[in-house]
Parts: sequence; C-alpha cells; structure tokens
Amino acid sequence: MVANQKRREFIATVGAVSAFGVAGCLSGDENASGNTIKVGVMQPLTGPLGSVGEPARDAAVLPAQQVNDADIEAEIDIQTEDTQTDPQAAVSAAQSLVDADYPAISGPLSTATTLQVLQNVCKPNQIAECTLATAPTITDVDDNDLLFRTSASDALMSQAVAQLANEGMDVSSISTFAINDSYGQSLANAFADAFDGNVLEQVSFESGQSSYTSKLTQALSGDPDALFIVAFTENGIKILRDFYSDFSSDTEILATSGIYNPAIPENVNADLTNITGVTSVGTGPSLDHFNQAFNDEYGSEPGQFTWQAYDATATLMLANAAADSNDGAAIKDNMRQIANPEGTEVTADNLAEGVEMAMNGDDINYQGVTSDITFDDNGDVESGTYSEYWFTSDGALETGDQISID
Amino acid sequence: MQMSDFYSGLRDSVGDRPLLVVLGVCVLILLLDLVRQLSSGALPARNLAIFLKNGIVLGLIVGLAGVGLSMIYSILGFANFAHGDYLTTGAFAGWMTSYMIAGFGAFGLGDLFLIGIAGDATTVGVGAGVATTPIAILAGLLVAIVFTVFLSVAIDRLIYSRLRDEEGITLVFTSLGVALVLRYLIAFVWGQNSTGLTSTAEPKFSVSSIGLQINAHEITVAVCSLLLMFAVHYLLQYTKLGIAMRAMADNRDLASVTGIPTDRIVRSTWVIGGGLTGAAGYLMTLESGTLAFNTGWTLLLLIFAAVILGGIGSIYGAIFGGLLIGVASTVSLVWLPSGFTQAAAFALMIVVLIVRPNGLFGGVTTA
Amino acid sequence: MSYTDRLRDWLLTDDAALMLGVMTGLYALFTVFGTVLGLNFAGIVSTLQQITFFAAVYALLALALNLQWGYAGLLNIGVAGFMAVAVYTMAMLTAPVNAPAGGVPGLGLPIWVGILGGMTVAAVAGGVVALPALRLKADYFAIVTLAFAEIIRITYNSQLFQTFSVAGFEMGTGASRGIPAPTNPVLSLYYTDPSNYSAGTTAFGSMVFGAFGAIGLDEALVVDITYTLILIGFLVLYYVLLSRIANSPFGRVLKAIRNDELVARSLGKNTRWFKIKTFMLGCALMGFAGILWQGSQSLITPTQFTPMLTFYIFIALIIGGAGSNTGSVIGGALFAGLLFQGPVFVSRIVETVFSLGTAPNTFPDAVAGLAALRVEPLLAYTLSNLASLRFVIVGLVLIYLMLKQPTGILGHRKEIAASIDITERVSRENSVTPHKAR
Repeated sequence: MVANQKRREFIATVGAVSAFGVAGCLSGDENASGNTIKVGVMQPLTGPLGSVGEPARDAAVLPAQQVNDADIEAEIDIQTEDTQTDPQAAVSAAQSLVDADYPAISGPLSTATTLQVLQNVCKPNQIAECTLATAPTITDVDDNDLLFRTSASDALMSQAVAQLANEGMDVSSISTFAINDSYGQSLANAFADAFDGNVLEQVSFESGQSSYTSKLTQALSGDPDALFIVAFTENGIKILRDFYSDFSSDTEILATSGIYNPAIPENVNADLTNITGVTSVGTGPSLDHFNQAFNDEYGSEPGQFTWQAYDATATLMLANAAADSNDGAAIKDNMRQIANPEGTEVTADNLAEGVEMAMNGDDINYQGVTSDITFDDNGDVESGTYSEYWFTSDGALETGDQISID
Repeated sequence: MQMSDFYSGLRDSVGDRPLLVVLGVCVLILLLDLVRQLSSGALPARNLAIFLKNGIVLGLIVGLAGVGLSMIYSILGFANFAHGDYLTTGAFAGWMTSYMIAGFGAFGLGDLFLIGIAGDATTVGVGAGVATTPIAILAGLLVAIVFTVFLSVAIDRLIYSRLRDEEGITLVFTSLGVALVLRYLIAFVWGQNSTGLTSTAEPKFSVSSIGLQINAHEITVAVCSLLLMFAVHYLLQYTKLGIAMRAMADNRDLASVTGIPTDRIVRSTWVIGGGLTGAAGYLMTLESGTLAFNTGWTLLLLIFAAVILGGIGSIYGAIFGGLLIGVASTVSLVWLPSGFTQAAAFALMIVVLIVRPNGLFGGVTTA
Repeated sequence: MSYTDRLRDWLLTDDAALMLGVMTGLYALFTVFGTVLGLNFAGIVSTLQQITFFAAVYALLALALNLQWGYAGLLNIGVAGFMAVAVYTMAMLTAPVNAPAGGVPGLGLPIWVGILGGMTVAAVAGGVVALPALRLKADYFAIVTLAFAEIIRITYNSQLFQTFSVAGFEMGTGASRGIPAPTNPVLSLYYTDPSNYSAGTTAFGSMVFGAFGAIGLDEALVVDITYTLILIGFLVLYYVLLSRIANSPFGRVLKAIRNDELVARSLGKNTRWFKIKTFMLGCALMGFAGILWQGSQSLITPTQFTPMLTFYIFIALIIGGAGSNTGSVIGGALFAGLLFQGPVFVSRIVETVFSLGTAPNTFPDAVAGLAALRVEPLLAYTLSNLASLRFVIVGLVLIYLMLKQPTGILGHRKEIAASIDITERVSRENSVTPHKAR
C-alpha cells in the first residue's frame, strides 16, 4: 500500500492545556439554537465484527470532521459507541445515546443489533436509525419509518450475482461458501433461490479458523463450475490462500463486497483472474472524493462497509440540518427530502456547503458514495445498480460493467 | 506401562459397561459407512485424505498447546483460561522477530513490527517462509518459545503465586482476567485485523496416487511438534525434574514433605508449559498463514476439549486428545452439515467422557 | 428476645444494609458519571435504570448458579446454553402460527405456557446433561456443560432448523437471524395496542405517563422502569425461595454434599439424586432468568448465548462470594456496575472530556512521538482505540478483585450444614432456633 505513506499530520498546537480541558462544556446543550447537529455513531468495535466495524466507524465520523473543519455556522456533535457485536450491549449503547439526547443513530452493522436497537430504543424514543445491515428482513420490518439503510439488500445483491453467473459467465452448477452468521446465511440463501442452475453444496464456515481447506474440499466435491464466496475481507484472505494452495483455478470464483479490496492480491499472492465479483460500490458520484479523504485521514484503503457508513452519517446530518432540530421524528421526515431527486446536488466534495444549504431550507439532493442515494418507501436505497469487478493478472482491482436489477 | 494400563482399563470397562459396546458398534457402523462411501465414489479418496491431513495438523498444534495446559492443570490445580492468549502472545512475539529478520533493510522497523497487519510490510514484500527465509523462521520459533516462557513465569510471579492456597475456581477467573488483558492489549497495539503473514511460494510434495498435496509448512509443523513432544516425554520420564513433577502432580503435600522444592517445580512447569504453548502459537501461524489478536482464544475450547478428553495431567492424553479432536472436526464433514464440525468435536469428547469418566488416559497423572 | 434472635435480626438487617449500601454506592457513582457526561435529569434516571436492570438480571442468574455451584458444588459453565434452551423454547412456543414477513412460525400459545415450557425444557436439558455427567469429577463435569452449551448454540445457529415441522406443526429457530420474542406484557399495561403506540394509552397508562411526564421522564423510560421493578420483584422471589431451600432439610443435605460427599452418602443420603434435582431446578431458574432478560428484548439470536455470558455470570457469583445468596445479589450488582457498565462509562467520559485532535494510525507511529519527548501522539492513539482498552480495564479490575478478595465479598462466611450451629459459643437457651442462612 503505497498510499499508506501519507500519514495525518498532528495539529501541533494541541498542547497539554487544551488536551485536558473540559471539551464537554463546549459542546453542551445548544440544540435549541439549532447550530449543533447531533449524530450518534454505533459500530461493532470489538467482538466478532470488530475488524469490520473499526474502519466503518472511521468512515462514519469522517463527514462530521469534514463539516467541522469547514468554516460554517453549524457544528457536528458526534458520539461513537461500541455495539461489541452483541445485541444486548448494542441496546445499552443506543440507550446511552438517547440519554445524551442524540436524535439519530448512524449504524449499526449487523442485522440482529440493528433490529434490537430499532425495537428497544429507536421506536419507543422516536430515534432515526440508518443501518448498514444487508438482510432482506430489514425492508419489511415495522419501523414507523424510522429505519433507513444505505447498503443494498441481499435480495437485490443476490439477484445481481445470480444474473452475472447465469448470463455473464454461463455457470450452470455452483456451490456456496458462506460465513455462518446472519450475513452469510441470508446472502447465500437468497442467492441459491435466485440462481438458475444447480446448487451443489451449501457450505458454511466459522470465522478465525486455522484452515478452510477441509470445508473447501467439501464445497468443491461435486466439481461445480463456480464457487460463490460470502466472506468478510479478513476471512476472504485466508479462504483464498487455502483455495489457491490446494485447488485448481479452473473453478470460477464469484464474490461479493468482502473480496472487493485492493489489499487482497498482496495478501493472497496468487493469480486471481478467476475471481469475478459484484459490488454495490463504484457507482456513487462521491466515490473518488471519499476514497481520497479516507486515505488521507487514516492512511489505509477504505474497505467493506466504509462507503455505506459514510453515507449513513452524511444523510442523517443533512436531514438534521434540514429539519433544523435535534428531533428524531423530524429527522426521519427529512431523510427523503435531502437524499431524493429535485434539488441542488451535494456530494462528499461539498458536504459542508450542503449542510449550510439544508439549514437555509434549500432543497438539496445528496449524491452518495455508494450510489446516488434515493430512499424508497421502506427506507431502502432505491438504486439497484451494481458493478462487476475482477483482478487483473498483475493484481490490480478493476471495476467494469454495471448490472441493473429492477 | 501406561499403554497397558489403558488396555486393561478398556477391558474392565467392556465387562461392566454396555455403553462401551454401543459406542463400539456406532464407531464400527461409521467406519463401514466410510468404506462404503469410498468404494461407491460418493466420497473421493482425495477428500478423505485432505480431511485427515488437515485434522492431523490441527490436532498436533492443539495437542502441543494442550500438553502445556494439562501440565499446569495437574500441578497447579486450575484451568488456565489465559492459555489461548499465551499462545497468541507467543505467536506475535515470534512473528515480529521473523519479520524483523526477513524484511530487515527493505522496510522500516515500525512497519515490520506490525507484521503486515497494518503498515507497509506486505506479505509478498517480506516473503517469510521455511524455504525462503529459514533463519528468520527458526529465530522466530525460538523467540516465541522464550518470550512465552518469560511471560508465563512473570504472570505467575505477579498474580497466580499470590493465590496458591485459594480454590481452583478463584484462579480460573483470575486467569480469565489475565486472558482479557493480554488479548486486548494485543488488539490495542496491532488492531483487530488479520492479514496474510507467510509466503505462499513454498515447495509442495504431492502424493500422486490420491492427489494429495503437502506443503513445506505443514511438514515443518508436524516435525517440530513431534520433536517437542518427544523432548517433553524424555524430560518427564527420565530426568530428576520430571520425576519430581510427577510426584507433585500426584500429591503436592507428600512431595513437599519428601523435600521436593515445590516452588521450583511450579516455575519449571510454567517454563515447559509456556514454551510449548509459544511454539504451538508460532507453528500454527506458520501453517495457517494468518494471525489475529483472538487466534488463541478461538482455539482455547478445542484445547480444553483435547486435554479433558485425554485425561487431565497426561501428556499422551493431551496429544492423543488433540489428534482426535482435530480429526473429528474435519472428518465429521463426511456425515454432518458443515456448520456442525466443532459441535462434532465437542460431542465426541462428551461421549468419550461418558464411557471413560477420567478421560482416555485418566488416572495416569503427568506422563 | 434471645441473644441468637437478636443476632439473627442484626445479621439480616446487616445483609439488607449491605445490599442497600452497594446499590447506593453504584447510584452515586453513576450519577457522578452522568453529570460529568452532561446528562440531564431524565438521562441520569435512565442511566440508573439501566444499571439496576443489569444488576437485577445478573443477580437473578448468579442466584440460580449459586444453587448449583455454591450449595451443591456442581460446576456448571454452560449457563448460557440452558438459558438459550429456555428462551428459544419460549419464543418457539409463542411465535404466531402464521409468521409475518421476516418472522418464524411457531405454535401461537399464550406467553405463560411459553414461559413454563421454557423452564421445563431447560430443566429436562439439565437432567439429560447431569444424569450421565454427574459421575465425572468437577473439572470434567464443567467442560461437559460448556461443550453442551456450545452444541446448543451451534444448533440454534444452524440453518438446518431454521424452519421445520413436527407432527404437522410448523416451527423453527430462525437460524442466525434469530426469532422474534413475544411482545413484552408490560407494554399492554400502558398501551391499548402494544404493537402500535400511537393507537393510544390505557387509563392506567395515561395516569402514570402524566405523573412522570410532569417531572420530565418520557413514556419509554417509564415502561423501562416498570419492567425493571418487575425484575426486582422476581429477584426478591428468587432470594426468598433460594434462602428457604438453603435452610430446608434439602438444603442442608446439599451443603453436606458440598462439604464432604462421602459423609453425606454414608449417612444414607442418595447424593446423586439430590444433585440431579438441584441441577434441574437451577437450570429451570436460569432459564426463567434468561426469559426475563433476553426474552424481553424483541429478538433472540444465537450470538447472545456465547460462553462469555456464562463467564460473566460466574464472575458475578465469585466476586459476591459463592455459597451466599446475599453475596450473589451483591455480586450481580457489582459486576453490572463495575465490570459491565463501569468501563464503558469511563471510556465514554474520557472520549467526551479529552479532545486530542487527530491520532496517529499505528502504534509504532504513536510511540515514535515518545522519542521526540511528545506524549500527545500516544495519548491520541489511546483515545482512538479505547474500545480495546476497555476490555483491558475489565480484565485488570477482575484480577484486582480476585487478589483482594479471593473468596468474594461474602465468601468468608461459612454456612453450616447442621441445623444447629455447634461452632457458635453463645447462650444455649434458645439455640434450637435454626440459624438463618443468607
């Protein structure tokens, strides 16, 4: 990672005095004036999803930093909480956000924590929630319209992968290899339903195992044309290492967003040309600007769920500005207002201006990182556009044709 | 002598335990089914060979780590829940050394320190492996052992030694605290990511008749674990220290009365147990090629299962238990859905304990 | 009034005073935390409600565990598994027959049937484990219960049982996505339609909401407080029940078994049967506590029942002092306050109070600052990685508590198996009065 060299510079002026000053006094209760926009961020920073949640948290606080660095009237007040990848801890963390008067929650990541937080905290307290969870159940859940999401539902994602397999790659038999949690199970099942052909084996694996060779053997035992892998980047590296060490690259590999990461080639160190994947990232108008900003700030490439996390916080911030109040019900009413068409386009590039415009009551249309972000009646992103991606023989990650699902 | 004990125990149990007969029939049915599946082609021989190979490699690592756990269990009388995190700590120390040596000059020390989990020292760039950088690997293994020895003795001095007279359960939960501290200190320094660590360009040896491939790292792991196991066996069986340890495991007060310096024995136990654990952590990473802050914690339940299945205090039990657990967790794929492989290993342990309440080698304390 | 009576009364009030003292201390601590965080009145009340909630559920579970471990010496480290069995059974029995979108079909039975069913199945599961496993020594028994709990969790997580049918009845576990829990009955106390709050409140609801709304506490908080009060009610029931059991002839046999099983057996007690009964009762109580806790929170998933949950409950029991019911309650409160929520609040405060600007991205970069005699990079790095450090703090507090009080806060109290305390050298006039156990 060459770009890694670029580290953040320290603000040298941060001296011991300001460091230990009570900043809490500064950010006090100014919500009456409408100049403080409060957004709570919840991501799993520890527990099984910790390695996915940390970069997502970094991305989720980025919009606030951008706006606070700009010279505008509003100040963004962010509090981050750790869900510990545990529904109980998540509810407790969400409750503490409510106690501190945060009207909206950006996150969390997993379906279980999202639903627990929705039912136990958001619905009773009228808090807007913008999740990254991908399960189809999120679409239909009875949420008083408080729940939005910036990531694509598995229902659509699986159709996109199936379409690619059936039409783009002419695969007639396939096995699935999915992580044994709600993300993996739900995506693999939805894919098996959508795929037009033989699904030979549906193998599930646990995270953090020392070897996946046995389970890969099982998945490949019927000699399928292709293997569909649903994994987070971390498992993906290990699975691909095991795959290329013991199995023939004649088997095509179909992948989702977990493998869409430029860190894969240098860690796997093999010819990855048999991988074809589908990602929902790569179509958003703000993508390049976000990638650059993330890299500048954190010195690493943005990974899975960072794009969606950025959009989640950005939309909640803009809706808060448009509502001109730290009130969850008002924020949810403004989510479509700021994200859906009609209005001046706002991207990651001019987010601070966008906040100002929203505060002034101008009609804006947020153009996100993952897509142009248009929320439908269920609070899902409407855009069913996905990109095909692959690795070249010298290890570059390339994005290509778009796949549209209606 | 131990083996004959084992067989006579087995003979006794058949007499008064119809349960064992039932179990035997079940095993026989499974074996027959295996043969049927192999001959009908439902299960290709290559698949079974891969299952067995992976199971054995995993089993050797679990066994090696289990020997340390088992010794401490029998001599100090408590289950060390921090054992898995000793393993992780050893692996991190060892791999940091390997990276520092293998990538010296090519990358900054800070990047090498992070062993590719963050920073610029990439797997491909450093290319640590048995064939490519043998000295770095050897040095790493030694540092992993030495560091874990140092760590376990230090923690014993600092914490466990003050609780010598307390009940086992107090020590168990103290060790759970130690486990949390170690694990999350590693997460604090290295983060929670895990990336590739080892070179993938290792020589491979294939058994062409069944299409099985064995790579140099797997062979290294097998050879090193077996050597270490034999070393411990020799130590316990034929040295004065070993005899004293066995005496202490049998009866601590009696050992103390007969003039065995119990404090020194305790320290030696930590030295040997810790060293083996560090080695297990390093070797496991060499084989799997990835390392994360929770690697050892994830493995801990399997290590416990192996130790208990073999019988607490018996090093052969730990090794044999490790192999059984390892093989059960892979070969079970032949019959069970893929989500149940760990469940199969645990179920095997429960079944064995029902038939032999003291574990397979139970009643034979420390060797 | 005899001397023993007075002694007993004093001890009893002392126990109550101790519990009250611990809770007051925790409340004071968290009020300070809340004030530092800048919470308003409702925020602080809600914080205290949460502390009480977790203190109550951990106390309930610690009490049930104390019956098994403290009194009968049965080392059960599969608590999470037995809780899972009860909670899942309850949810599967009560889930609607025609599942809504995203739900799981069930038998549609009333909630009390579900709760009784859950407790029964947990007890049966306990029996199934204990029957063969009790021949094992404590350590082996412990690992069997742990393995059992893991098998249970893996089974509930498996897609194999996502939905299945038994004798024509459709039901399922929902696999990793979990199964929705029935609506909390407390809600119907306040709302005419618990699934839709806007449909209006009941007469009682309007009254209570009005009263609390006047002092700035909103509806959601009032509902939470009500449920927490109900939990405290059950906690009192558990405490009384278990204290009575401990004092009964049955309890004395248990204590005798714990002290010396051989003696108990040679006195003609069928110790094995006593142990199995205790284990099953303990599992049923754990199951009910699990239903009260995890079953009250809208969705039940396998990730809620990891071995860590069991360890947490054990920590609560151990820091309170195994063998003492009062200790279990105090342990539950201390665990919830000092280990479960305390570090979270401390890191939250550190995050709000200290603001160090941008942080270096890696540990070596942070330490490199030290070479240039600058501490801020390391502090800033620490601040941005507090989530990991929080668990380090939990570990350190645990080690400290163990070193300070190896037998727990009340572990030094010896409870006597005999109905007459022969160690007590006091006036003998009325010494036949049973010595009250705590």
